[in-house]
Amino acid sequence: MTDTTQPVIEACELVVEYGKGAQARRAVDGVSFAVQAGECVGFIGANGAGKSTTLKTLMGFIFAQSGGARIFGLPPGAVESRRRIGYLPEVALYYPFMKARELLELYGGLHGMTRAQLREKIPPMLERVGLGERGEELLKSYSKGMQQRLGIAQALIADPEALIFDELSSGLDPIGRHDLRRVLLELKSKGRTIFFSSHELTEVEALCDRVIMIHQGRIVTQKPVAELLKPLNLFEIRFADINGELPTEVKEFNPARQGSEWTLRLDDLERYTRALDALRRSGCEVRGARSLTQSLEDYFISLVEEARS
Amino acid sequence: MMNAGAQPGNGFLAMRIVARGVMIELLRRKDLYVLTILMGAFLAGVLAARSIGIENASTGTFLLNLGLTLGCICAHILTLIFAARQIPDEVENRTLHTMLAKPVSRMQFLLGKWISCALAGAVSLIALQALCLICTPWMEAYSSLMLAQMFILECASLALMSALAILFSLLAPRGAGIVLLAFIGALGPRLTDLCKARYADSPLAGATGWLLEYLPDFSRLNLVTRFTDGIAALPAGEFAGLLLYAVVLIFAALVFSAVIFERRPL
Repeated sequence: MTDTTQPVIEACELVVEYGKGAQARRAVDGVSFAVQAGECVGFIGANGAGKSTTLKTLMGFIFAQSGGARIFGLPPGAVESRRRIGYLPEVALYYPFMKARELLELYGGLHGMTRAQLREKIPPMLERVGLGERGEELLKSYSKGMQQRLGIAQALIADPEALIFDELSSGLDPIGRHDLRRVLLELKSKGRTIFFSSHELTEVEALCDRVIMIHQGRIVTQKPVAELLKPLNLFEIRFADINGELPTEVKEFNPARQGSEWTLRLDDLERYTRALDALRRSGCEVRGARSLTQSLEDYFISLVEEARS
Repeated sequence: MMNAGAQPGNGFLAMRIVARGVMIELLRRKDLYVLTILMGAFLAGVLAARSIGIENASTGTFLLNLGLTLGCICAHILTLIFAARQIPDEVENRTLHTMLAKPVSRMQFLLGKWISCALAGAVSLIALQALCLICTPWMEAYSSLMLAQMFILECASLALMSALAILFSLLAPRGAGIVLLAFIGALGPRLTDLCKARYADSPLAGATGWLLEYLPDFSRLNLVTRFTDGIAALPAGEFAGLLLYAVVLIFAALVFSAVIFERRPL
């Protein structure tokens, strides 16, 4: 059972280098963070930022030059901690000579599941990830997306307390992403700890409680998602003109044409109210009006650009 | 929150499951077809010889010796090729991370691979040699105890081949490891004698001789000719000594492999 006072995943001043001597390249440079039980945390960064290296170090596949990492209070790679984790690697490929059912039997068996438990659990698990009909096919006939779905199934087969996913929705089509999101939301509602890296920022926005952003091996921010999605004090109105003519009182707000519509962007509430009144008075058809918020993608790009400059 | 009925797996269970995966691979890949074709060709040869008629004891002995030796060589080659590709294949196909993310230690993983390859070799050896024994006439001079000793030492030899192939696959590129080990397996004793003779008068003689003693000598574990020549079974002490020789080498190879594999970034 999870000790709620202890972080499930913890990295402390983690330093990982590839190569030796003059060739050494620091991939992770003093990374520290903690993921508490029941949290859903997104780990984001550009390509080569150090996400996969951090996750591989947490799993004990590669070794840190200095600093430390712990999972359930145990060092990386400890068998006891792996019993409680479901892991999806960055590139999910499986034994091509096996069938999906056999693969899940193999991995479930390593988690100590009995034959009876496996027989009971595998068909609904395959169904859950959209591979219900394909359990008896050899994996060499599986597409990349199907392998990724199977990867999710193998990570979930033993009902682990914590999930670590490297590149969550890599290779999945929109339906696959939708299914995966549904599965993760369900796991989140059950209180599982979820830590994943992804390039799909909308996915991170929709699922995560908190985001850790890494750039060039260093953590640049770690904040709750709600805090990052702040209002921008910007307002947008979409409208259609009358017979191709723009009323004079609307022109003063400098609208921009977008296809058959016009768009107005206003940076204060008072002008926004005045523009709406002007549009109504002149008989223009208002098709949409909203207050703009900063998306995670906007925030990510601004942070990366700031770091670059 | 762990699956209600899930029991934490123990080390032996983990090794057994890893080994089971290897066995599925063996049954679904072409190696098994190669073995089946070899067995078929072998059976056809022996049956042809029998139908022509084995006229005297020496012909029967020759055929049996040839058959048992071929069976032994085939099993060793199969074990070597199969064991040498286990870990490199896991790395190349990127299946290793998923496997080692499960509750299985690197040591258990390695042992599971070793045991399954040795077992696959032993099964093919017994199948080939049993076929040969069934198809050739049994001479009075043959000793059943010697036959049992021969089987046991050959199985130990296969376990050694499996352990060394895994070790070499961690030390060198797969192809180089296979060639080097095949070379040692086939020419080990001759190579040792050649090196000893070459350096007999040099100041390096002592060091060379000492080093060469550590080169595994598979011929020591091969009793086929002794069996077919009708020589009596080995005394218990000598047999135990040979078995111990194999066990020590297997242990050393596995310990080296484990040390290398434990420290290797994946």
